[in-house]
Amino acid sequence: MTNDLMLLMPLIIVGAGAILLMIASTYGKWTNELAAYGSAGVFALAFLVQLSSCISGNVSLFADAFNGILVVSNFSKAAGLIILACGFFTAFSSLSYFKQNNFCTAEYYSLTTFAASGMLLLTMAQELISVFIALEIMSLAIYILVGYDRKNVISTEAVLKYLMLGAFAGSFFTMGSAFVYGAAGSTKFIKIGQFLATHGMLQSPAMIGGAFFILVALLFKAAAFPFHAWVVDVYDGASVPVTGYMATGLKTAIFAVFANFLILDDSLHKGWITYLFYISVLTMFVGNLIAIGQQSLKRMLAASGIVHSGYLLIALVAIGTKDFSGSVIAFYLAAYAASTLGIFTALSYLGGAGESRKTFDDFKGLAQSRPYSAAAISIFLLSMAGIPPTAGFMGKFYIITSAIDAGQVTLAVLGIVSSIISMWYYLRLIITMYFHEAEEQFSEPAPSSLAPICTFVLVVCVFAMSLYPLAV
Amino acid sequence: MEQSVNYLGLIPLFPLMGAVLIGLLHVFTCNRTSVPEKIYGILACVGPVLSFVMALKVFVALKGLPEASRFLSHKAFTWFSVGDLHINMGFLADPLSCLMILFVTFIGSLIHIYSIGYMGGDKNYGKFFAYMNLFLGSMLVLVLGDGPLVMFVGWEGVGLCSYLLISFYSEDRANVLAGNKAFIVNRVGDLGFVLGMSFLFWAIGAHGFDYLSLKAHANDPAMTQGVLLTVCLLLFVGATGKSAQIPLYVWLPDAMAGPTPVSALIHAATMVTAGVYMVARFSFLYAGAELAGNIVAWVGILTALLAAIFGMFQEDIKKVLAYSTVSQLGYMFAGVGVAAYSAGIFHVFTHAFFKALLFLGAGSVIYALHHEQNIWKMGGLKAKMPKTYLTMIIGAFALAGCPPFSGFFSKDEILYSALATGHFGIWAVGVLVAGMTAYYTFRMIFVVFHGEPRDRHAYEHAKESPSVMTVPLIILAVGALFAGFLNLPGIFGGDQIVSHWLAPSLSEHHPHASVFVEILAIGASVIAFAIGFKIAYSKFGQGAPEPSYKGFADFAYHKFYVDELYDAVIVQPYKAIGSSIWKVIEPNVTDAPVKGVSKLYMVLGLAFKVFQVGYVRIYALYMVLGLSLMSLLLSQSFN
Amino acid sequence: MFEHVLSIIIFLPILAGLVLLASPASRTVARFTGLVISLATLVLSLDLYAGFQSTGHLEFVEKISWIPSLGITYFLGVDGISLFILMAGSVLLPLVYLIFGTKEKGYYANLLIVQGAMAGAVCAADMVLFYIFWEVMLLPVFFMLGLYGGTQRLPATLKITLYTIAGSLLMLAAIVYLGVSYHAQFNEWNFAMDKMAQLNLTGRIAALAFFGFMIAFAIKIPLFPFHTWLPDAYTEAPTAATFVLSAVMAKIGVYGVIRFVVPVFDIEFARFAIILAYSGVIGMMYCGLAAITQKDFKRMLAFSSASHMGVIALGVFCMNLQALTGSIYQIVAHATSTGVLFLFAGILEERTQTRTIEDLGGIAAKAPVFALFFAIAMLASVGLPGTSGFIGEFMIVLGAVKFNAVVGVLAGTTLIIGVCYMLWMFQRVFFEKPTVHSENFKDLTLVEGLAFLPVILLIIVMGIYPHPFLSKITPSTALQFTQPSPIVAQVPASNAQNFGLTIEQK
Repeated sequence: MTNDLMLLMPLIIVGAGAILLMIASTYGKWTNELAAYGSAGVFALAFLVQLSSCISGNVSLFADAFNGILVVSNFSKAAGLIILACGFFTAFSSLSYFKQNNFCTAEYYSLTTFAASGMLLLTMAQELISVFIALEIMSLAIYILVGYDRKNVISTEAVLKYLMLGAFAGSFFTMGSAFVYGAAGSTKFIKIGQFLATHGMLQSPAMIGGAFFILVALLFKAAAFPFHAWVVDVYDGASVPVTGYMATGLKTAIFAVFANFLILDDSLHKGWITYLFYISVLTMFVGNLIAIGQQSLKRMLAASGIVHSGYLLIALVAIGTKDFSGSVIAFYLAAYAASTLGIFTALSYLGGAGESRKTFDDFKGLAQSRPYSAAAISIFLLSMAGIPPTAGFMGKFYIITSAIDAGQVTLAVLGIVSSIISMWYYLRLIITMYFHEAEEQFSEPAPSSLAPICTFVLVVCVFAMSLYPLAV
Repeated sequence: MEQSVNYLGLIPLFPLMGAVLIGLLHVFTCNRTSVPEKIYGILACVGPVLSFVMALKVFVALKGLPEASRFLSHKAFTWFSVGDLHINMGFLADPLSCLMILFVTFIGSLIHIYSIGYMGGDKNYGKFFAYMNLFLGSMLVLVLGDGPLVMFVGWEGVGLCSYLLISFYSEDRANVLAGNKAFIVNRVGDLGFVLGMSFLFWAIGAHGFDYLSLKAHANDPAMTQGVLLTVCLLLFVGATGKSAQIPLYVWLPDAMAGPTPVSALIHAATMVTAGVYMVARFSFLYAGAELAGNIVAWVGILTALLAAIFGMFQEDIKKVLAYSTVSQLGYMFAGVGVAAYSAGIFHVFTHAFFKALLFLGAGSVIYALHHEQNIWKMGGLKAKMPKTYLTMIIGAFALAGCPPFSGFFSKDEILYSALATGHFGIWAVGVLVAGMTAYYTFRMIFVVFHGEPRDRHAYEHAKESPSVMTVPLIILAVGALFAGFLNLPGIFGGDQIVSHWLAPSLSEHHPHASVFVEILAIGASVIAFAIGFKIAYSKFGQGAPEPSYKGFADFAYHKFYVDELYDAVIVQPYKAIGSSIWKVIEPNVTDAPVKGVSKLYMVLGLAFKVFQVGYVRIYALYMVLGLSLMSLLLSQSFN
Repeated sequence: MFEHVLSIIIFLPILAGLVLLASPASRTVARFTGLVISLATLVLSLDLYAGFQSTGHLEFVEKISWIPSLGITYFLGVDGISLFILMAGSVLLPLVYLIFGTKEKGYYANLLIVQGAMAGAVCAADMVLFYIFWEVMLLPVFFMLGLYGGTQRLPATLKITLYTIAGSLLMLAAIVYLGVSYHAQFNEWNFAMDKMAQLNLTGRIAALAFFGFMIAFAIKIPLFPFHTWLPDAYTEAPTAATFVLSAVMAKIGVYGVIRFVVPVFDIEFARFAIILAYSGVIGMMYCGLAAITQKDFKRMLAFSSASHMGVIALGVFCMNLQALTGSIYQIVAHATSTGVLFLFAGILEERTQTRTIEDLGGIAAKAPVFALFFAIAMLASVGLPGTSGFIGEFMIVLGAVKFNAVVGVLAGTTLIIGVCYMLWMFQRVFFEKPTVHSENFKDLTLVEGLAFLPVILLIIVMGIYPHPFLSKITPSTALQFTQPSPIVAQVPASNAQNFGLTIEQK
């Protein structure tokens, strides 16, 4: 029992922390800094607990505690670690971001924490309704965060889009769950799995339709083609730290539940494999083509986020349902999260007041005045591009290996091709930072020394993960 | 069978050491202090003279051996060895190479001594002797090297020196161009040599790539007629390059841009005869390939004819001699072509003396007239410079093949062999060329030394050259006069010493023809000489004004426009291809795919911005469209 | 001398470079550090060379498990093939620090990193490790080119980077494919190169993987028609980068072909060898012809380098011992000749402030020592006997003749083509009359002279007495033909027969 509690502790900590932060924010003395440190502390604590339980290596089905609607597997633990780390770094990047942009209130940090609790729940949920609840907990918080800058037109527009389309997705999900329930007579993954194992998917149209709608909803959240269009605008509209948070934590949670759902039964996985194949290919290439043309850095990163979803879909196509460890997906998510967060953290203190610097050209000659930041950004970009010896390379390597091992040679090659295409817009930023003359002195001092430190830590992570790739 | 002596390696080593020594001395002092010329002169002559002494030592040693086993060899070290390919840096002294090194070192030494005077006052005095020593060293490697590959080292080495020395006066673009021409044309030949070696190696080289092993396996089944013919012809291509035969003779006349001693040593006496030596060296192959031999002979004799025609109309004294050299080389190839290897080599031997003599004489004239080379600016010089005159007369008689001068015997030997082996065509042309040779040789002599001075001013200042130059002339003159007697044919009561000496290293069988044939051959040559001499004397004997060439003469004066032809057919197209590749093909063909891809890439990138309209309804539309499409496929696939 | 000498040779420069980049060191400090480190590496490599047993197999092996789940190991070792590429790098790179004294810190730092990375790529015996170094060695070049290159540097930088990365990512897929199929056939994960020869690969995917490797290497070498990035990159890059690219990095492409393609894809290789050989020969002629019309001597050297690389690659494709050994030897020869010529070109450019051939002249008279050194390097690059250039070239032509008479004859033309543009350039730069740019050209300083002297001597020694070097190479190359790859062993025989036929037709 204590063991089970330990396993659940991170979720509890984050949830409780969120509520406490919310309450605290009603007090005048509770400044934004304190809130930021508070949330960071919550995340740190939860992270350490999660880490300890990872090391202890116990897993539990909570068969009696929650009637098996929550499951803690190594995969969910890993995902949880990533999410918590994202939250932690987001707290600090937000801190330095809001030094230059003043639309922050103390609730902001409680919202990030709420979102995190939703994400954690999502990684563990093994039952459709609780998945939906977790999804909504997460989404609602994110909606608010995206639109946090109320005076800013772009961000309000963004939140509108996100909200409406998100509502679509949510309805699809409920619809799907209803169908599935109709077919399998239960919303618990285990039961559904047993049903599929006995009848197979193709036998019952209700199951087909249900699974289909659920997949659509998940694909939307994962920003896969053709449900990708919102990403660019929303990422652009949201403030830098939130964008980073969405791009990493949210994506992690979604892919965790996606994988958990897909591996229910072989027939399910097999049934959708062709679709996932085409969707992943299209996602990669469309994402690339969108990214090429972008002038704004955030939009480019958003588009590249789509591409990375494509790679993750490759991994989903390649996973074996029998002995699923999820290590490939988890590692890729970790690598991607590290580099993406890194860039956004760097942007949070380089972006300038009111995000004055957002296009490529704004960062011309950064290397002369801010050599270390420029170097860090370059490393993150190289990691995203999958150039060794960074974590991104290892992630890509694992995905390709698993794909070819699963016989998906074509998919692997297409993935390679797409990463060749993606090379240009990553290098482009490096070239602008290094090979162009500086047009402005990035003279203003870093608003908070914490963000640069975080960036540095993330750089270390990016290399460490590639050198000890089995940490996950 | 063969015995090893370690001093063989020293023979090429001495001049090479000299070259390095002088070269470094020059390089490190030329722009600071000037080293006195004496030091260079002494340093330069030590190497060749020592080599000559060594060569004598070798000669004596060989003489001491029984005729069948006249081989001295020295394996310095394993050069390289990969799989079957074992190449030793080895040297082989047999009668053939011994004869060669004897006269190469002898004449080389003389010319070095001569150059001390001739090059006096030149600011690159040191450089000159460094090159000369380097050349001599390479030549000796070429001759002594045991195996085609070692020969090739010297082969290319002499080519390099020739290039360096032709473009010696390097401020003048024309000289350097002449040098480039020489090097490149030689390289064309070398390509043939290399390919020939390669084919030879894959056929029989696995047993060892030195002459004796090759000779031992020359008749292996692997050595089919096809391979044999290929090898012989490819090697001959190499020979045509080095020895200035059709079609690669064009570089030699231009090579006269170098200092005169260079012309004497490299482009008359030694290097250009390397091709003949090579064919003789591979006599064990050529003896088996009748067809190859005939081709060699015909190419040779036609070259002789062509060069003789050009020679009759040149006005530059050195060009006349240059073409006479090409022509004589033609004779030599005709000789080795009809399998009279010893005759060919003997002509090489005598030719070395009288041609070196003539060039040095010409050099002495040029020196006296302050680098005036046009014979129509000379005249009546015999009074001014008697030593030069007399020696050159001797050289001229030898070249023209007048008995009893050396040239007569060697040339007659070749023509006789051609006749005796039934190559009437070659013999006839040969006799004709003999006449023409006599003509243009004495045309030169008469115009330069007889008659009235054409350029008073120059004439006044002309005077006999210093003895450091004339003494070598006299020594060479003696050689040119008597060298022929070394191979006196039986009909004159001699017993062909040289031929017998060479016999062990050449696989030839002396043709036995009737005395009548012999008499015929001799008679024809003598008559041809007489006619040629007569015409020359009647036209130029008392001096003559500069003729204005027209018609055929003009055509021949311009060397049948062969150079222009080559330029139009080879050089210009080559450059054109180069520039078209660079300007047209590279950007528009080879690089087009790359450019195209990147362009497409950018276009697509811009195109896809269109879809990001930013209207939420449109995005919803995308979703719905995608959704319906997927469900359509779904319904297709599941029933 | 040390336990992990290879690791030290690899990581000492890399770490030093990174430290330099991170530290605010001055350029003098950077240069000094670079010099010291590279000399230290040189000492280690010489010690390595002395201790090399020439068994033909990998020596100085270091093997540490890295990613056990996929059987990826930190696996280093050198054999006769890789040793010489390693040596070329270690011997030549110290020159740069000695000669170019006034560059930025990043210049020297990147140089150190690229040196280490190249050493790593050559020593790596595990495919993944190889790939990592292979990619890493491009990055410093990317930065050097982009930061310190000429006026047209940006397009050149993008072209070389994207072109090569595209190639190498395809190779990554091929590498993974090999690892997976090894797992499929032997039921264990392994990425060690020496294991891969045991695979028997057939079918379309194998052919694709073959091309995955081949294209990557063809771009790096570069093999016709994948050479189009070369002229711009070589011309725009700062001298040191050009030097590194031509002297060492290009060779690693050839090395890759020998290491991966020949033993693993024996069937495909035997099938496509003739096409590859022709592409090598055509590249040689094409670039050689293009070289003669160049106005810019650096660009001319770039083309000449590409032309020589065609010949070197040809040696590998001929699939017989002489040719293969020849190209390994030629790799070193080319590094010491053309590579050094690029350095001389850099000196010329620094002292005359021009790269146009026509603007120069009469330098031989002004700077005899410089002219002498330049001439020796040039003669080596045109393959004059007595210099290092001849041995390799001759063996390649020899092997080519055996492989296929036509290819052999075409390959021989390199003798002529090379001489044409080289002499033409030499005449206009060193002979004739001095021009305004060259009339007060300073000869090599004592330091420069002493720096170049060893290399120049090496050129001559390697030409006159190559046996000791070859005796270290031959065992490994011989092993290539006794590998468990029967096809490659057979092919020369069959070619030898149709070589006979081609003779008969003559």
